[in-house]
Amino acid sequence: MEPLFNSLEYLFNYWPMTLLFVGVAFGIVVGSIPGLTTTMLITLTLPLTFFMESVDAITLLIGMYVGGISGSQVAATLLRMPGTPASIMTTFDGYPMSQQGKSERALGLGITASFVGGIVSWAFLAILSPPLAKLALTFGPWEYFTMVLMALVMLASLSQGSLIKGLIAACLGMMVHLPGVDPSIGQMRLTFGFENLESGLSLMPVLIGAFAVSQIFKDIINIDAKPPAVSVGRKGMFLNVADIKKHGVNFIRSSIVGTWIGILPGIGANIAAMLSYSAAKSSSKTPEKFGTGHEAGVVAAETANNASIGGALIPLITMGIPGSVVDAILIGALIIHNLEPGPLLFTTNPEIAYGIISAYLIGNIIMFGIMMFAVVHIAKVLYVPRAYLMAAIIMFCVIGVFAVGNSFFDVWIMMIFGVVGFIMGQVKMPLGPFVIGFVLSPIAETQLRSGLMATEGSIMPLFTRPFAATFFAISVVSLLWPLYSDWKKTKAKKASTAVE
Amino acid sequence: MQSQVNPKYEIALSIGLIVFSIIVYYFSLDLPEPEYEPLGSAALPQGLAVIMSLLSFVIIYKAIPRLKTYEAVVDPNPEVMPRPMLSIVIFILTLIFIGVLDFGILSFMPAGIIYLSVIGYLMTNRDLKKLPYVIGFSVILTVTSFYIFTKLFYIDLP
Repeated sequence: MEPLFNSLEYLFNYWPMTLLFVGVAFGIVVGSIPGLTTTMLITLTLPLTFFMESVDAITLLIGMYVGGISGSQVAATLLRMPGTPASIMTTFDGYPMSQQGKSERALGLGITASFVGGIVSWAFLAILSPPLAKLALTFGPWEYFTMVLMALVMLASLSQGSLIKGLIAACLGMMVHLPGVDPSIGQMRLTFGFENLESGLSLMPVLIGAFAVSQIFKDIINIDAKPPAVSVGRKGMFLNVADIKKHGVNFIRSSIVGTWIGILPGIGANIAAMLSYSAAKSSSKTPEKFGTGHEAGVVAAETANNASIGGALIPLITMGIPGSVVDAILIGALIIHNLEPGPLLFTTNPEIAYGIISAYLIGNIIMFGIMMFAVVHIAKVLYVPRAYLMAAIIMFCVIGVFAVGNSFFDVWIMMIFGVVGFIMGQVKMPLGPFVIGFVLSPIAETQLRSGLMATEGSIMPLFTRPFAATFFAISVVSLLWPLYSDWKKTKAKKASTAVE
Repeated sequence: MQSQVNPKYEIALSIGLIVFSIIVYYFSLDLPEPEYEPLGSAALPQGLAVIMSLLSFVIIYKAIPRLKTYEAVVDPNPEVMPRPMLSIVIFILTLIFIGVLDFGILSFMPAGIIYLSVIGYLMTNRDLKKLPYVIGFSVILTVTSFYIFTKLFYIDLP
């Protein structure tokens, strides 16, 4: 407990607290604006953190993560335009509530739910992370390889679009990481004669290109879209004891669902909200009310999407495996700061591991305060002129990427990946597996080759080592299950056509 | 559920991915044979290239039957008219801006102000009334960015 208290004490210093506050506030603002995502904000902030102490940098990014996911409910509730994909489920009941003149109530429920989800998942994060990190220290190359495999396959099969497209995105991400030095033996490969490729493609240009640049050019297509005017007051935002009692079970269940989904590698807040919403609906006595402005729907979605952040941080700090796309970027941030994500983080850099845990707790409290007292003003952010916003973001992408490597090669690479991201979006190929494939590719390759070296080429540990076998089995099931479901659906469709 | 994506796009992308996989596979043939471990440097690129090609063929196989049946859903009365050309023009202008900086034709300050003013003007529907605001915004953003990066972060912008 002592390291946790030490990091909490550090957070209460002027500079880290300011950064956390700024991070949460920025996250909320950006999360509120449809089209701008938390991923984009964190990616664009990465170059700035290069000049900060590692703990401060992570504190800022965690603040943005918490703020971004929570802030996205504002546009989802008021305009039926989710600020980020995490709040898609909030639109189902939040928007109808808003239409019934209960905007403040919907926002109050959503903000409180986000806070409760965050605090419950923080408890899981604080309690589970240290022992899990100890367990992960016993893992060998086969466990790590199968864990990465599991992350990629699960993300590909559960993300938006088809499994095949998800797998292609993951393969493409891994291939993009190939040029440069072979991580196992130091052999140069696939540089195609370009000197700049000898050090491989950096994380920043690829990330900013794929997430930010592609999104901007997509948003410019609909730049004339103007959200309808909505007014929000403060009355009725705070919940009373009766409200807490009424939604108590939903709060707890959704927090647990969200945390659990977050822990599973590669699955983000949107899936957590979806599953939690389904669970709330199926256990409700009035399921027909869901989708018509039912309070339980807002509570389930918002509790789970915030809880998933804490859950997703567990594999990140204990094993160096991202629980979501944003976590993959946080791993990138740790790498940029010369830190090695994984179980050794608790031993070599406890201030970072516990710093993440503490920042997540305090970030949630700050988020609750800012959103409860400033949501009236935050709602006005929805009407910021897009032309100025887009111009500023494009400029910041160019300078940000240039600043990290002091190289225009990286800026050109960013533009290329902007096009790649845009095309992937047009054919509904998910970006999540692409980024996670890019980040995890060297781990997967190094661990597989170390494992094969140790066993002289035998793959038997995939079946004989308990953890590796479990992860491998989950990977196989995750891969085959969607194919089986598709086959079953097609068969049923053919049968019904034959009967007709 | 049938995909809403135009099958022509899917086929074009898949062909591109297959070509990319062939290039990766071809260049990885030059990599030396493994000496101290069973896999070697070429295994991952070759493996990924094969998997990606196969998956791309599956996409093509699934997309071909939809070529005849696919009909693009077009909203006859859209609330907002999409402006794809504007996006393309701004992308090209961004490439020009980066090129100007990379080849040292102009330094960051003038290039940034001109670039932001032009794209701001285009994005505000070429409204001349808004132009002074756009130029003011461009000057403030460029000058602020320049001083933040050079004075605070000690990064010399071109």
